[in-house]
Amino acid sequence: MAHPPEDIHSDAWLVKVVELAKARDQEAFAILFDRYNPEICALLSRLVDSKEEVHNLANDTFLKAWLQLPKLRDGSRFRAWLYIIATNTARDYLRRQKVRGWLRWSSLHEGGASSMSVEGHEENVVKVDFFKLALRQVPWKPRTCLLMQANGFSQSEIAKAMEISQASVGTYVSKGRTLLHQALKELEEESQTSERRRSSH
Amino acid sequence: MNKHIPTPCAKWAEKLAATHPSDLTPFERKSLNKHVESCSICATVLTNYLELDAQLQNSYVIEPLPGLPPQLLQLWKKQDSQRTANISLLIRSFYVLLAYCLMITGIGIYIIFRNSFQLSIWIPIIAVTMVLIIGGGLFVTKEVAHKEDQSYDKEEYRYRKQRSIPLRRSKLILLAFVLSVITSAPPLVTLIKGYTTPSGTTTASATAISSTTQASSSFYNTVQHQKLYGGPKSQDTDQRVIKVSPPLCQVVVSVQNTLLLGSRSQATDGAAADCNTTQVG
Repeated sequence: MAHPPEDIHSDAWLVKVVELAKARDQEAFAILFDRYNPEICALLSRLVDSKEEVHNLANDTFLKAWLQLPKLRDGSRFRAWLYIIATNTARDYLRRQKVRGWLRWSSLHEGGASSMSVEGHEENVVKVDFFKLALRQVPWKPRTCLLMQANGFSQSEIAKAMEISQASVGTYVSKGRTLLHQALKELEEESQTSERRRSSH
Repeated sequence: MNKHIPTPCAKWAEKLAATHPSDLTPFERKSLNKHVESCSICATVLTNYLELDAQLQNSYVIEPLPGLPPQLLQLWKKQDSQRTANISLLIRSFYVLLAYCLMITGIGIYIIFRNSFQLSIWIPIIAVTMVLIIGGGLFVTKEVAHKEDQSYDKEEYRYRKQRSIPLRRSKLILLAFVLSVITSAPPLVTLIKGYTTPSGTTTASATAISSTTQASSSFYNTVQHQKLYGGPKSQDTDQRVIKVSPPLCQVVVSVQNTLLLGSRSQATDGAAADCNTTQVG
């Protein structure tokens, strides 16, 4: 009697695939890669500027994931665990590059906006880059919590992945939102001021 | 978004930030909704949070990676080659050992029964050559397989499927095994034929093998007799004379002594000197 095909989006299926990948099954890891590659690239694109950087960091993320996979205890937490690896990889990269903080207006157009394909008008492009710059103003833990929550993780999942308490996650998310909003506001005010200066000249 | 986020009620601040459905219990969610309905500040905060989340989710459309990371593929290839090398070394060693066992068996059978049955000297020679070729070939296949793996670079998925089945190597091992059996088969077949064919030469040996100590003694005597006096003449079969060089003959006799006759080797010393021409009946 033929079994019905297993739902490839179910948690049980995912756990099975992760377990196979933990047992060094390359096919299983390739399936996980295919599934999470777009998500991880999207996540990293919010943290670094260019497409090349995103791809390099995504490569590093999956390589680290393969190497550290046997250490993962709970297969159902693979996605959250992968997010943490990706954000940590991006953090290390940014530390190395010393690009945290404010980016100059010129580099914004050279590196960031030109390499990203963004749907919508030019206004949106600027807004998106504002958003990225504002996100960089947020300290690392609140930023990670915020990004993970925006990507559909519950606070308990984030807490487990980051090995902090759920209450801390709530605090970080709340703090992150406030800081992000403040940073956005400051950036917009800054750009308005510079535009006024240009028009007055 | 451009508006300043007002400060929410302290009691509800963290719960407002918990936008995931499973972050709050149904009761907490219900009470939060009730509060948001009554408090315009918290309602504004919640709307802003949801807007921020939407922006965080949908900011960019970026191309994902075109394929698995090249470093990872390199690592996999290295791990694979190490793994298959280890496994194949074991398998190959096993089969080579088996092949050499068969070879030694073949030589042994030839040495023991060359005078009793009409065994050609070429049988063990061919067997030895075949086994050497197969044994050597098995150890060479590693390099061949490695070269084959390099062609998988182009299509990684095909590579992943193919690399897990070292089919060619398995076939080679199977071929080696079959050939080893085949090369060892002629002496065995001749031996079995010798037992089943009723002839004067085989009776003595058959009796000797099937009997106990006494019989083995008579077998020894038969072999010695054949060595020293050219073997019993059979009326049914033609006599053939095989010329064997003295050093080879000495080696054969000494091996025979070691394998079969043990301490009784002194009796055959005379045979070695006399075996420039050996008659096989």
